[in-house]
Amino acid sequence: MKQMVYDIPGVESVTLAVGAELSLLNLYPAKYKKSEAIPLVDHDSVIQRSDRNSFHIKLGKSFSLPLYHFLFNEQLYMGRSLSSFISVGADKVDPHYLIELEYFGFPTERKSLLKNVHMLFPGDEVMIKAEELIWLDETLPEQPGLHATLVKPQAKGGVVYNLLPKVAADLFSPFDHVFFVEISQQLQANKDSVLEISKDSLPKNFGLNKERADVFNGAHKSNVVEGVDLKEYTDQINDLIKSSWEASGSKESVGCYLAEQFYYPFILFQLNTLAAGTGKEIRIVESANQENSVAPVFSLDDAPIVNVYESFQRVFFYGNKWLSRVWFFIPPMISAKIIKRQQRYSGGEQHICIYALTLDYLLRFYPLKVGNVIGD
Amino acid sequence: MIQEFFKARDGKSLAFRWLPADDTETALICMHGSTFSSQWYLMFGRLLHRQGMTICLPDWRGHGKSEGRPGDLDYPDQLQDDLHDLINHLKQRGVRCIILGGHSAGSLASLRYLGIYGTQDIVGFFAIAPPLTQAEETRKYDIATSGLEYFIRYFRKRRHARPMAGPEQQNLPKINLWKYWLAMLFPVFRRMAVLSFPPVGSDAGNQGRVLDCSFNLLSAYTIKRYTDLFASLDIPCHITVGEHDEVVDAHILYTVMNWYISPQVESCLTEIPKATHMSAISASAKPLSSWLDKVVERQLEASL
Repeated sequence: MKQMVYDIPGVESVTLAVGAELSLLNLYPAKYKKSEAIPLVDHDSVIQRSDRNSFHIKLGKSFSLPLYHFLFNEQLYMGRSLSSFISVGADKVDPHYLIELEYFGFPTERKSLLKNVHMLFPGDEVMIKAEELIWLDETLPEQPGLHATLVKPQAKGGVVYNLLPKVAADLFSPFDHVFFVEISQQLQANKDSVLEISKDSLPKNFGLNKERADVFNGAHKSNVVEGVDLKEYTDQINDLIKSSWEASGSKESVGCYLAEQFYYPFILFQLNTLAAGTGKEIRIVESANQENSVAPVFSLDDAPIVNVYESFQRVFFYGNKWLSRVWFFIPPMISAKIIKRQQRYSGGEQHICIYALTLDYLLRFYPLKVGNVIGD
Repeated sequence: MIQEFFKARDGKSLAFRWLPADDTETALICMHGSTFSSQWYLMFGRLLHRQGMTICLPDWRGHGKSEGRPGDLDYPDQLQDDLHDLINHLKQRGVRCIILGGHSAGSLASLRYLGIYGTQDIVGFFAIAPPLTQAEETRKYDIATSGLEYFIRYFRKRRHARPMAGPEQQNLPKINLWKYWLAMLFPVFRRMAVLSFPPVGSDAGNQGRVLDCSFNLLSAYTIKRYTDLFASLDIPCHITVGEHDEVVDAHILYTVMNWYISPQVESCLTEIPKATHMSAISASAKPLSSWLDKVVERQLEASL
């Protein structure tokens, strides 16, 4: 059973003797190491086999490459690309991740879209009990994608809208803000190896509050999703966050604590995922020469095919089977109401629409199991 | 070039033009657009044939030299069944791989074929100016019922307007909505003409065109759930469209391809400078030719 995974292309067993230490950078291909800053952190980020059954992973504070781990069958799988884990059995969508992303804007406990696959953030130190270490390169076939030759340039809304699927695939996660697309564009356009982003320009809608919860409550057909009671679960996570804030000494406000401990690290991890693919690095700085107030990209008057509101409604008519059946079954009247509500919440941004569209895209084109959708 | 015939499953004799190259194991089938026949696609066929590709240009039932009632079908999927019979006929003659596609309505008929019969033995799909006019959001211009359709679908008053501009309006078909709805509700009326194309240019230029189209024939190339059909593509595809196409906008196709074709499928979109809906046919031969080379090469590698 354990041997079967080696038949999958991109799966490689890493030999590590007891007591030996391996720099994590050695596991990444060359294109991930283009950034000038990365060699400095080489010795900071290591994996060590402390005994026959345990691995210690220690990431330096400036380790800016994406890294995930998954424990299955006493084997520790590690990889830089989340989609690689599908082929070794991590093919179930984690509903807790989705719920936390919806209601809080970030996941807790380093969760990812795939159940039991966890992110590793800069500065993390973990010990995992496993017998074997396996590194996952790209296990899915290469994605050739779309090559287009267009004579006329597209409008800005069209450019951003058409990039949403690609960015969702790169992050391998739904997202609820065009911010990621804009950064992806900047990464492509930027010639320097380091892209600086002002802290003030990061999305600000996060944390459990009534307005955000109302937006997503309206989108759910039932209060119980995949066997998880939404209110009970979000209250539980909220209590967990509050007790963590209290344990920290409550020196700063809850909002600041959430941002520093949960939201910014998650956003930075996502940004690093985008940057790593281009061989660049992203740094969050206190201020940069960037405009912080940018007008929303999409509007109700956009051309219908690139109108995110209409797409949101359209996608559930043509429909992703899973979403349209259980998660978001939204007849036109209800979805029009939800759209109005989310506009009030997000001041012109389209959180729920972008979130649902990007999630739908991933579920349509990747072999993901979405679990017990009827929750019985 | 040889004019040939094959027997469809109902015994009707259907025509196709056959341009065999040295390699006849791989053939390209190009379905013509509505009202036309294979005769209008000879230039396109010859350009690709010159590159060493075996070309098959079928006439739809009732069009060109094919038997059948002009502008009509016995049932909506009959065009796809005829295409399947043609593919079986070609297979009997030694063709092993097919590259399927077409121009305008022919490309949609081919796409529907892939939706019905799948992609077995089909190694590539191409579409020249596919008119996604059935869905409200993919139209280039508004039609009379656009506002109502939009309201029903999105529960919101339509704010955008896509007025028809310029002389191209006179070349677009006109649908008789009363007849269309009657045919949709009562199958007995489905052989009645519901759509008519205006003659364009000289009488000689319109000779052989079938200008009226029944509900059944219209259904054969009507694509309502374009999202599902594009998403089901699992073979390389190439779509071309003219910069000045009167029916479809390249940006609409670009968006459709970005969102609805799987990222695992190699897909191309080429907007041809200065080309219109009709001039895009021959102009597509060049971009399609280099794409075909890659498709055939991959097929050879796969078979080895």
